Amino acid sequence: MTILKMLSKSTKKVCRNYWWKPQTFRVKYLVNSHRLCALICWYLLILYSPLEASEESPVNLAPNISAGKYLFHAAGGCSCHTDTKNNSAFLAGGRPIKTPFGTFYGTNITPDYETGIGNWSDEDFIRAMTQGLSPEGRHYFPVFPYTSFQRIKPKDLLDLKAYLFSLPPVRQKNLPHDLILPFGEQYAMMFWKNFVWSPEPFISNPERTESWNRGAYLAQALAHCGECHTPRNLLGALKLEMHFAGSKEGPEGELAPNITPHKKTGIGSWSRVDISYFLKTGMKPDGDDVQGLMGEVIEFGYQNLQEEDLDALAEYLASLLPILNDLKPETQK
Amino acid sequence: MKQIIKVAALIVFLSFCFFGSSSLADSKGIIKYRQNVMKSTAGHMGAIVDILKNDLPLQAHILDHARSIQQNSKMTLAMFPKGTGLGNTKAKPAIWENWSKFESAVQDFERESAKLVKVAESGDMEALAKQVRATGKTCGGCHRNFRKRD
Repeated sequence: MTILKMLSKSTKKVCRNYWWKPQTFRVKYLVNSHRLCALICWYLLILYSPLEASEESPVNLAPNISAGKYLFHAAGGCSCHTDTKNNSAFLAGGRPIKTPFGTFYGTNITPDYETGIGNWSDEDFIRAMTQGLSPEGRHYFPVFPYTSFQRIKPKDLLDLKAYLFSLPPVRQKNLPHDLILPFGEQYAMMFWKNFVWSPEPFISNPERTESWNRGAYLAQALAHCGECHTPRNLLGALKLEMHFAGSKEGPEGELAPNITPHKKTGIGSWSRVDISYFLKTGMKPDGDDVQGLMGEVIEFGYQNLQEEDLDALAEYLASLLPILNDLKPETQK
Repeated sequence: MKQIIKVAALIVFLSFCFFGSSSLADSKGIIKYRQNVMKSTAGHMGAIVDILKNDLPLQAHILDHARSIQQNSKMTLAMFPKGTGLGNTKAKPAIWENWSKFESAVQDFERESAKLVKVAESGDMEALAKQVRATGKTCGGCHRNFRKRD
């Protein structure tokens, strides 16, 4: 802030004292001190933006389908878009997802031109995944976890799109969501996006190991663990202070357990090997297997991840702050 | 007339209570029993997995664990007689409404655990890891459709 203030002061001075007096030099865009300040900031930003960012600019790199497939698996195989219970077509939507806000139906994300996403441009796809906006500018409901996906790197997004577009198109119309008012209203979604949701970018932590950062990126962006495992408030925003501490009202009316390393109420008794083996096989350390949506995201997604990535996820999860959140009192004794 | 109906209703109600509670008491024993067997199956499964994922020098034990799992698999179907879906159990009524589906899911488990024993006998660790997962999947064959969630 102080830098900005200093900059705006000095630009004001420039405007007042130097050769472009507003009265004589009515250059439309440069006279205003604020604009000049903004311009200089913008210039500096371009000049000093880190090399990585320019490297990741989506325009220059040809998308890679096999990398996209891997990312698709890291995102849990987008299981909500396949109605597995009724053996429906892969990713053609129609799966009901019960939530406290009503029943949503997974949409068709096959590259069919009419009923799927076949006519989406790269920009459309990126906008949908990062801002939750349809190509027509409609707001998506955050049951579609763009709230997590907005942390995915642009290059990864384009790879993912390339993979989705390499799949066979399926003609199947989307079902209308069945929501409790006022959640079904577009203006309500606009309000939600602007005032309830605060998008947090993925920030890597240089003090942690590379694999930890990889695990954090996978968990927070692609695998979108928090969308189910972090509880929500009445307005549907994630309670960030309860990050990964589990939710009684997970999707499909199921309980999403506490996955922080809390000894009694979380997975504190699991070793890192336990976690990565679980993500690969769906088998808990007590010899029982996992069911529900978690079983599906493992079967159609996480189990295909490389060992290093599963270990990275385990390293990240085991490093979280343990949070006490007992989701099943009484029954389990 | 009215009184007769009342008395009859009372008798029916009481008999329901009586028979209901008696069958509940009967199933209590078997519910606890099958929970214990299930726990032991999971325990042996977890034990094999512990040896595998931590590279414990106890690979010789794997065969015994696999045999125990197979033994348990053969007991599984008989642990679910009709009328044992009430009380402190996670078993869904769908088991008895959909018995043939349940039966075939249990048979999947029996088959895969028999394979597990064979693979364990062969000592091929890579095949074993695969078969452990295949067997683990058959747990889900029942648990996904026929077990209540927590």
